[in-house]
Amino acid sequence: MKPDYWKRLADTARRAPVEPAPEMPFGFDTRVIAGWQAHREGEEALPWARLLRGALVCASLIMLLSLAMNFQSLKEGDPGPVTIADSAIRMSLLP
Amino acid sequence: MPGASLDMVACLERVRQSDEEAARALVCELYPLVMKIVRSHLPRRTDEEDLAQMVFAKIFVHIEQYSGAVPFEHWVSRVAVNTCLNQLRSEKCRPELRWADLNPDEAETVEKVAARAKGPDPAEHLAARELAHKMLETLSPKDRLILTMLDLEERSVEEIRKLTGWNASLIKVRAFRARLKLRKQFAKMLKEEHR
Repeated sequence: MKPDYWKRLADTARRAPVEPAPEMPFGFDTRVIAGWQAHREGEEALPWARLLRGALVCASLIMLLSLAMNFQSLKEGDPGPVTIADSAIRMSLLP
Repeated sequence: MPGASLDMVACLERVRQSDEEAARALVCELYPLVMKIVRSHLPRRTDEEDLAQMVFAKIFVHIEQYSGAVPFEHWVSRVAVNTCLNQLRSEKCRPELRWADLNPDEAETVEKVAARAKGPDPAEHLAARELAHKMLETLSPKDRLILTMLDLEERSVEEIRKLTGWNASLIKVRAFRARLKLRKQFAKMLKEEHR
């Protein structure tokens, strides 16, 4: 049977002296509390954030819709001189 | 409030009502417990203080979810273990350990372990602990977590089940496979040394 080196190593490792209980570094609790406060403030601002996000989505939809509706005229680009002349004649013939 | 025992239920109630002093007392009370877990599962490139801070951030953000069904310390331990596991997962690289990677103390430890020589020297035990952690780093995060708890902290499968939420058979199977991997790795290292 092969020797179980891992078990031997783990047995030896377990006999290592226990590290002393760590002392909390200065300012650690303040940092944690500050993070917690920031999160809470973020949560409190959440209804406004949701409203703003909703408004942004609506505005984007309106923009896309108007682009889609005017796509044809945007695609055509500048009218040529013949088109301008044609429309001028039509307008002058109108009563 | 060092030294004074904390009334956890009252303190949690105050924390839920956004009492900063209570939150500060809770951090002081739980710091040793969180640090102990963080130190035993610390990923290579992570600062222990940063990881402890991440654990506390999660504790405070999810404190409303604590139902009181288990002692608060158990719940905190579970949060800490899961945070460490997530951090270990973010370390994609798990290089294989080679003989050339060992420092002289660790190389000596390998030789002694292979020769079954047990010395009373605490420095040897420390080197063994370092080496054990180095070897564990080559495993997947879950395997590493399980073996650290089972073989280095001597926790029972039941305790690990409670801390991680994984089922007992999964823990046993994973431990078996992980030990097999480590044994193979150890044998490979010894082979390299004897070349």
